[in-house]
Amino acid sequence: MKKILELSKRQLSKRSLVLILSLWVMGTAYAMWALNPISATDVMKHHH
Amino acid sequence: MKNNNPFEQRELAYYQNSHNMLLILAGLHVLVCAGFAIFMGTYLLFFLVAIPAWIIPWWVCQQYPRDLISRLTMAVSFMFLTGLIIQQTRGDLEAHFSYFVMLSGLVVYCDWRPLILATTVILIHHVSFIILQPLNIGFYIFNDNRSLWGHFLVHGSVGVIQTSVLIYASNILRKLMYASFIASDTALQIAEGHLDVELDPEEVAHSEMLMAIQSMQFELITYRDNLNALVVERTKELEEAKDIAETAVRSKSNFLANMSHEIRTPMNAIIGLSTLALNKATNTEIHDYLKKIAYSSESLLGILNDILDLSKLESGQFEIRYAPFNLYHLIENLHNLFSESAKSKGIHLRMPTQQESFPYFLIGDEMRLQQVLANLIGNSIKFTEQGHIELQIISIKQENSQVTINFCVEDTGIGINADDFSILFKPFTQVDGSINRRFGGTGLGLSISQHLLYLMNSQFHVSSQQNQGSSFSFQLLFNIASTNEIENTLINSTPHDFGQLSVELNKMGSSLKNTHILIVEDNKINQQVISELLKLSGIIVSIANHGEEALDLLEQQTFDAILMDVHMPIMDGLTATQYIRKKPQYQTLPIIALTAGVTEDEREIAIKSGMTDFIGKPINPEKLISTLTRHCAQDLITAPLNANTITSHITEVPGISLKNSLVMLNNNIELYLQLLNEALTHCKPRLEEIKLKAEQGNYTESYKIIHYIKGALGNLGAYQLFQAGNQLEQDLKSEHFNPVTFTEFQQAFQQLEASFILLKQQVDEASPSETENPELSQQLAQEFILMLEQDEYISSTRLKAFKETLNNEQFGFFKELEAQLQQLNYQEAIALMKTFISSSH
Repeated sequence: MKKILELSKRQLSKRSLVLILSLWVMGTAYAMWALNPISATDVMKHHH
Repeated sequence: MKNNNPFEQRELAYYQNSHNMLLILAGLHVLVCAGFAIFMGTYLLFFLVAIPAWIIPWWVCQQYPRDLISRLTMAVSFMFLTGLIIQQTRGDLEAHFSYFVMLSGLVVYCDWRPLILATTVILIHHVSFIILQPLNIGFYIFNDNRSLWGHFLVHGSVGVIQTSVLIYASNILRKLMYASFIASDTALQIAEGHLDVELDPEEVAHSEMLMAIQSMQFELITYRDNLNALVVERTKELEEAKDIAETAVRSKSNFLANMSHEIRTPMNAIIGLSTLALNKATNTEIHDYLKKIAYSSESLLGILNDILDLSKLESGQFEIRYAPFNLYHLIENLHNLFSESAKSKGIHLRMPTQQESFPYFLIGDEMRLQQVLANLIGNSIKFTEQGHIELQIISIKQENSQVTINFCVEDTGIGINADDFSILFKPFTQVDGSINRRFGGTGLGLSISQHLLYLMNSQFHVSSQQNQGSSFSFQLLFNIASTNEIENTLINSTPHDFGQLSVELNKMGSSLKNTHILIVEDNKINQQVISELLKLSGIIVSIANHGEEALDLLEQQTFDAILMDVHMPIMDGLTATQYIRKKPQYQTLPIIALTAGVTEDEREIAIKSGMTDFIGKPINPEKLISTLTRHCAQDLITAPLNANTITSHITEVPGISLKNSLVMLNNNIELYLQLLNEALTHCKPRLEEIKLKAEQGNYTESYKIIHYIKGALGNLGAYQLFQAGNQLEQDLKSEHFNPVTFTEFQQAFQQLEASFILLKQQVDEASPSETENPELSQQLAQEFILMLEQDEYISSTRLKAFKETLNNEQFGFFKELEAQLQQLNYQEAIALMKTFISSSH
């Protein structure tokens, strides 16, 4: 745990940080989009 | 974020706390997502979205806690988690509370940017799911009466208002936070004493808290400035008071010095003249009066010394002088001092005997110890009517070369009431006012003694019972002295008996006989006292009234030493000494200061001006003689050569440098012959001793004798003997006795004896016939008789004038007359004079 904490504090360059964050944002957006559990059928069922 | 922020440390702590709080909030949402994953089977969403949405902001906050990027990451991650929950509940109304909670949480950053970003992210989320995936999110909450755009407007405006309110709130929070940072920082700096710390007027204008701190700061500055002014004022006042006090102390010290001088000068006359008068008084009644005058003046001097001691002790000018001494001598002195008075009161005085076991040879201030003990014994005698007084001396602890000795004086006197112990040591007080009337005294003794003990790191222990007796004791720590040290420094001083002075001084000053001493003194009585004291030791005296006269006399005559008063009109002693010392031939001439001033300062000034030693007035005859002996004994042989005339009738004789010796003796050839005769008679029997001691191997003793003879005769110009003596001394120093050198020395001695006879013949032949005047001699003789009958002193000049009127046959008579006068046998002198007158007729 201590080692992880120490590693986490080792600073990356701003560029790598921005790259990682961009990948994270895009990956998450895609995952939320693609893995959305609520199907159109369910919605329509509910609606009616 | 601003890099030059003055509150970096505080800011870091603030952001770290905020990050931690928000991560806990995010963690709770992650737990909710875990619940959804279990009930809805959305594990993939949980692992791919929820878990990274916590780890990524945690990681960025670890790396850049103070940077904007960490706050923005936190905002994005919050919105991912909120979006995830809304999405999984099909847009449930309660699920939207999480959005409001998370957005409000971001307010702690006091920054509008994360709030805007979060709003943008959730907007994109909603738009993408409504527009791009319209059927995939739940719209069951939407009222059927409302169009899609109507829903969009209502939902969106709530979000925008929410964000605007929070941005406003975060702005207020930011201002408050900064103001509190500045306030606490300023307060800390003020507390550390930096009252002048500057506050940004703009910040102050916006914060009541800072205004309050600033007005407090201004108030403190005013107080400080007032205080500074007050301190400056008070310091000035104190300095003035100090100056006044110092002036007062100086005046006191000056007054004491003057008083001591003014009182001591007449005291000198009283003590000196009464002592001299005691030698001449034939009438028992007058002798008794004089004795009482002498004793009274001595005791008056004691009181004067006490007052001076006390003032010196109180002003801290007193110093304890450590020197080797013999404790037994001190006890003996005390016994001599008090045995008579104790006996006369019928009190038994017990003193330690030499058999008692305590070390005698100690290093300490003998005079002050004696002063303390004498005071205690004196008091005991004063206050004891019958019984005994005992001085006990006990060695308590002896370690290496140190010993602690307990001194105790016990009596069977009137005693002291326990209540009165406290005032016992106060100056000028006596326990009972009536004591002063009954017993006398100044009440200074014990106070001085206590001060003295304090200076010697000790104190009194008193135990007493009224009408039973008292005991005063104290302990002192001494270094034990070696016998050698004692012998080197001890000057034996026993109190003299009045009336025996002439005999004692004659004995003490034998080595000073015929030395020539100049007295420089303005007071006529003192001149007489000192010159008569010196004449008792056979010293030849010249007198100068002030410094200038002394300088004139030094031009004409040669002296072995000068006794110099310090305070004189026309030219004082210090200036005269400086002039004398400027001349190379007088560099080593002993000049002894003679003054009534007794303070350390005066001593120092005298020594600094070039004086050799110091004798205080009133003059103690023994001290005078011992000081002179110490300084003159060495100087005889090196006396300077500057005589202008020499007895013309006398031709040089072998072995003697007559010129030098006669200069020294003021051309008094008779005196020279007398001295030479005495020296030869004295030294002759010791010649054999040199050989005897050397043959016994006692070279040191032999050396001492030769040194003595060489010195005595060398002083009288016997240069051949002096040289032979030198040679012999060299031999003896290397522990070797050379009979040849000794024979040379003996021959030189015999030569000297022959030369003496030759010289005596010459002197007898060279009569002062040119000046012979029988009429004048008759007249002078009658005058002298009258003077002697009135106990008047006949000056040496008058005697010399008388001598010049005599012829050769009368020379024997004159010598005898001179001898009688020198020994103060005035009656014999008168008889001689009368015979002379009748025989001349």
